Amino acid sequence: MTGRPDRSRAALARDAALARVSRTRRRVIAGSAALTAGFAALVSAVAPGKTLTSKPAGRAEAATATHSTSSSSSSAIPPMPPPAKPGDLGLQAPDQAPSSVPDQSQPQSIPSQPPPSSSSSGGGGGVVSGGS
Amino acid sequence: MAPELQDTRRLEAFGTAAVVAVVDPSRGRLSRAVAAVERTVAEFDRACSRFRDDSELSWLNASAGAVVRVGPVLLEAVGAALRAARLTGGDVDPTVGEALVALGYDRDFGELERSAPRHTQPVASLPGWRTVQLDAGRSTIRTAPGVILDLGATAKALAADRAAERAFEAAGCGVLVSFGGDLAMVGDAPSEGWRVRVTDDHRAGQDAPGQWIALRSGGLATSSVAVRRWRTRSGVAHHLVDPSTALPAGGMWRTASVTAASCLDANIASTAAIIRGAGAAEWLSELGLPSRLVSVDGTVLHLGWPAEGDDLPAAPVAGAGAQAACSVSGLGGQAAGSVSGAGGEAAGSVSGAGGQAARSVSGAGGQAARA
Repeated sequence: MTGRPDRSRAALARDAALARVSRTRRRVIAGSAALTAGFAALVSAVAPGKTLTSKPAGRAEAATATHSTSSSSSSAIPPMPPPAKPGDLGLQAPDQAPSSVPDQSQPQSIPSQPPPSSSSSGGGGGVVSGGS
Repeated sequence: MAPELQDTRRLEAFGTAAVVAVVDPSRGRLSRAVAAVERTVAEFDRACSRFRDDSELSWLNASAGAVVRVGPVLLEAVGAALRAARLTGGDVDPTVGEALVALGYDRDFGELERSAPRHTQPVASLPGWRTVQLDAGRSTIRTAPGVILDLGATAKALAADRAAERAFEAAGCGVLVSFGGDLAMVGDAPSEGWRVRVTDDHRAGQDAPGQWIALRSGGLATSSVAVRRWRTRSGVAHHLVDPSTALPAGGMWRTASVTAASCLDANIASTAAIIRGAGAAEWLSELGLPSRLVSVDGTVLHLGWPAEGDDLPAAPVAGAGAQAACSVSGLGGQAAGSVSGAGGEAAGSVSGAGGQAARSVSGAGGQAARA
C-alpha cells in the first residue's frame, strides 16, 4: 500500500521536469529565430547589397540586373545615364549629298567683296564657301 | 512645292563675310531672319571671342585654373569643342590658343595682317583638351593654369547652326546662313537647291577657281591653309595648328570642304582633314561624309561628291579602286584608301598613306613657320 503514492509522486516529478525541458526548448528555438531575424534586419540596413563571399562577375551582373528590375526604388543603385543624343554618337552625314550644278555659265552676280555695312543684294545667285 | 523666290543679305560677322538667304523674301522675312542672325552673332561674339577683353572666354582664359561659372552659349561652345576633340582623336583641339598666341595670332586678324612681322617662339607642346573640365550640370568650366582656349574652329560653325535655326523660326521659310563660308541650311531649300561656289577663299568671289554645287539641307564647311595667313620674322604662319606639333599644319591638303548633317560636324571634319593629311581621305570615307579635298599642288579629290564642273584637275590616283574614290558613289573606305600620293610630291615627303606619316610632312605654311 505505501509504495503506490511514492511511485505516483515520482511520476509527477518526472512529468513536471519533462514539461520544463519542453518549455525551455521552445523558448530557445523562438529566441534563436528572433535573434536571427533581428541580426539579418540589422545587416541588411547597414550594408545593403554586400556579400561576404565573392561571386563570379556574370552572376554578380545578373544579380544586379535582377535587383534593378525588381526593386527600382532602392537608393543604392546608381541611376541609368540619359540616352545619348545623335550628336554625341559621332559626326553625322547629311541627309542628301551635294549635287552638281550643270550650267553656271551665267551665274547671277553677287558682289565678291561685300560692303562694310549690311546691304541687300537681292536676287540671290549663290553663296561662296571657302576658307576663312 | 518649294517657293522659287529667294533673297540674300551680306554682312560682316566674326571677322568674315556673312550671308543670310531666305527662300521667300516677301513680307519682311529676310529682315526678320537677318535680325535673328545678328542677335546670335552678338551672343556668340560676347561669349566666345578670344579678342574681346570683356568676353566670357577671355575671363575663362584668365582664370588661372579656377572653376568658372559660364553662360549657356560658352558652355555649349566649349562642349562642342571638346566633342570635336573626342571625335577626331584630338586633331581638333581647343587648347591650341597658346600655340596661336606664340605664333603671333594674339589679336584680331585684321589688325594682325596690318602689323609688322614679329619674332615668334612656338610652344613645345599643348596641354591638350583632356585638361579641360566641363560640368554641364553646374554650368562651370575649369582649365589648367595657363591654358588658352581658342574656339575658332568650332564656335563659328556652331553659331551658324544656331543662327540658321533662329532665322528659320523668325522668317517662317527656308534659310541659309553662312559665316565665312561655313554654311547652315534649315527648312525647305529652293527647288534646285542652294547654289554654292566651293573654292579656297570665301572672299574670293564666284569667279575664283572651284566648283558649283547644290545643297538642300545640313551644313557645309571649308577649311583652308590658303587663307588667314600672316608673316612672322620666321616666315609665314596660318591659323590651322596641328595639336601634335603645336605648329601650323603642313600636309597634303590645301583646302578641305565637307558636308554633314550640321555645319558644326562639317567644320569638325574639314578642319581635321587638313590636320590629318594623307589619312583624311580614308577617315572621311569611313564616316560617309561627302568631301572635296584640294591638294597643295591644286589637284582635287572628290569623295561622295560630284566631280562634274570642277575647275581643278582630278588628283592623280593609283590602284584599281581609285576611280571609285573619285566618283559620287565611291564612299567605301577601301576605295578611298587606295589613293596614294595625291599632291604628296608637292607637299614634300609624304611617305605612306597613314595619318602619322602625313603629320611628319612639312607643308608650305608649317615649313615656313618652323624655319
